[in-house]
Amino acid sequence: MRSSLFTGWRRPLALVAATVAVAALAGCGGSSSSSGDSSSGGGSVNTKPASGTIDVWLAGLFATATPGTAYRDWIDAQDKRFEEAYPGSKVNITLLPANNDQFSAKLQAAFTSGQVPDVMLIYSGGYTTPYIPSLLELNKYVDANSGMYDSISNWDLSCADLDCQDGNGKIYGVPIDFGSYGLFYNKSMLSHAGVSAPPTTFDELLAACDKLKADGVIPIAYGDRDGYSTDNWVTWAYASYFDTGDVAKVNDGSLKYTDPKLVQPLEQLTELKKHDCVNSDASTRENASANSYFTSKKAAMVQMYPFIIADFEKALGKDLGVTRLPTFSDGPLADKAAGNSFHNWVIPAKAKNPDLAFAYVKIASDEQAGADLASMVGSPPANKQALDGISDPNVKFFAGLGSDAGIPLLDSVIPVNLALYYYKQLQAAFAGTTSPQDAMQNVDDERQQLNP
Amino acid sequence: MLHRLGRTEWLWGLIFALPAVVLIALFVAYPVGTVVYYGFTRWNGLSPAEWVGIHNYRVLLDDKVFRQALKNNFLFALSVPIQMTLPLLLAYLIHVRITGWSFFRATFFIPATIATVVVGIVAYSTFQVSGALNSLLGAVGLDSLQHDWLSSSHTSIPLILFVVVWANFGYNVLIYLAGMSALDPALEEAARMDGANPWRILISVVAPNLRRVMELVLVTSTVTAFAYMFTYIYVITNGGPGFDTNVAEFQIYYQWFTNGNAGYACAMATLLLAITTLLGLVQIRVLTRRMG
Repeated sequence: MRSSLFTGWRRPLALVAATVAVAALAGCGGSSSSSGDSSSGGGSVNTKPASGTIDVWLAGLFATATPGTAYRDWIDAQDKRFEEAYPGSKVNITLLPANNDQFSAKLQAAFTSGQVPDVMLIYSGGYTTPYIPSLLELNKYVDANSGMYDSISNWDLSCADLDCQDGNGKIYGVPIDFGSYGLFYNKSMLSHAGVSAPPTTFDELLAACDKLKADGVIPIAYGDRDGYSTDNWVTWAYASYFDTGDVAKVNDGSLKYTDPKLVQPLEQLTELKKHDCVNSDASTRENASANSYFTSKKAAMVQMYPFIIADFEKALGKDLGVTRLPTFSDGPLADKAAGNSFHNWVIPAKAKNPDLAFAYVKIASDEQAGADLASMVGSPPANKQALDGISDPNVKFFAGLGSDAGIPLLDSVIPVNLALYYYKQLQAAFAGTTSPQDAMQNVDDERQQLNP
Repeated sequence: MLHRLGRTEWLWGLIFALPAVVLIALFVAYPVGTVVYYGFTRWNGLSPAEWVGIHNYRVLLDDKVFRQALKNNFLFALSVPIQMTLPLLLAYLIHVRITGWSFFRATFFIPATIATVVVGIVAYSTFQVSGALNSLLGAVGLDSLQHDWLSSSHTSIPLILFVVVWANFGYNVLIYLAGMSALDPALEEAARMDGANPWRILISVVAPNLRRVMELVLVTSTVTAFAYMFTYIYVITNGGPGFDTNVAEFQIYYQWFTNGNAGYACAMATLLLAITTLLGLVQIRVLTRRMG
């Protein structure tokens, strides 16, 4: 019996097991011998290190810094300045995936394998702090460069516990910018549809939407394949509902995602879909790709960050306008903006040449770098002196939001793994496959088992 | 049988088997064993792993996203009967050399030569709002049927299933053709002389003699539905809306690389291996019994 049973199952068993095992699991094997490698930042600092080659990885919006783009022009300019300051040095640029899922995967793999660059430009806050165990603490470098801390704003999202304590907290990144969202609009299209002024409230937005639809254009360009458009809108809308400190409460769990302060803005936002105010492929088109509706003059408005100003100005010229996003409610901070530093430079703890890496960071975050960021990319810089010299009215508008920020952007604060789950729930809610209440309940549930 | 072998023969047997044993141990047993082990740990891929027993499996039971992903895998497994029968029919038509058989033989394998990610991109481009499908519907006056096909799992899952069948079709035809070419022509000739029509010959003569080949197609198609869907899903829908079109593989990747829960991801992978192995075994057992 044993023989016949074995004969009947042996071959199929081997076939199935071998195929599945190799296919599904080969990548899972690994070693646990590597350990957290956070550096305490002790030891001396060489503020004039010898020249050499450094590897720089770019993530966040700078992941799209392909040749010919404004992002690339900016990074090339900083590389050139660095190579002039350190003759014989060379900078190797690598672009990380622009998609946040893929970026996280790449970074996790890099830290696991120890194959890290010397410097990385990544999103601040929740996209930086989870990697602190693998990042170099920068206090000794910042302290060794007198005046550096005071010359830069928006530090908090680059420090442990998102609090730099005026330079006394543990610093892991150097911010380069301030990011928020504005409502970009095409002046001619609004005027042609009979919309006399850009909307300032959500009700006005819906009214403008009706007029633009009647005029045969897409009212709002929206790219939500990854949930980014909904996140960008709703994170601004929270300013209309939240009180000071509410973002921190959401982050520490004392304010639930199912609280009306978070559910109601999402419910309001889904009205845009129900009223056909967005392109019909809003839920399947990528965020950046949806901008083409706006730049090709098929859509009259789009909600975007300042980093896109240069491209929009090129496409629309004098027709381009930008204004504050509408208020969604009348909360205590409704007239305030939501925003914070978007990107910061970080140095992996295992960087082969940390002194030279920081020399690069110092150059790429100084006044000239900030001025270049404003003029080439359109982003308000974190460098205070550079901020004072902005002349472009559209960049000035975003710089104004920076001085008026009431709350940080929620997804900049929460850990990246929760943020990625949160985006997917927002996307499902906007697509109508789940209710806003259920989507937020799912986020609350996920937070409980984020690290099972 | 072992006791009948001489000492020298036994030694030679061991030496000849050793390379295979070493390779299997290195590339199958070790990775699988490692994954099974880490499935019982809390591990982020960076710090040392901490033994947590069956904790990860307890959490898995309450993991709604993973349950949804597995459910989708089973939906994609509905493609298996199609992947078994349609290629068999086409292979048989080529085998009996119907009119145009050389055209079919020259073209059926083309989809299998295209990289999966390219298939995904083509599918995404075809099914998006401004894609070829909606353009075609508009061109033939069926504007009312135009739809954002990928915005809901009700339409995107069947479409992805169709894409998977299309992409794997040629490969399965090739396997069947290879099997048919190895059949003894006298069997079909005898059936023909007894008055059997081509359909009867396929059902009663060819298919039963292709049992081993069908087992292979069955296993590879099932494995595809459970362990080779990642690229299709990642490129076509990215698992969305929300997690509606997510599959187990995607979730394993997500937990490891995005959430840094490597131990939990290994528990998922182990469970997926168990499910797929069990399904494959049952399917083969049923097929073997039905076909004698």
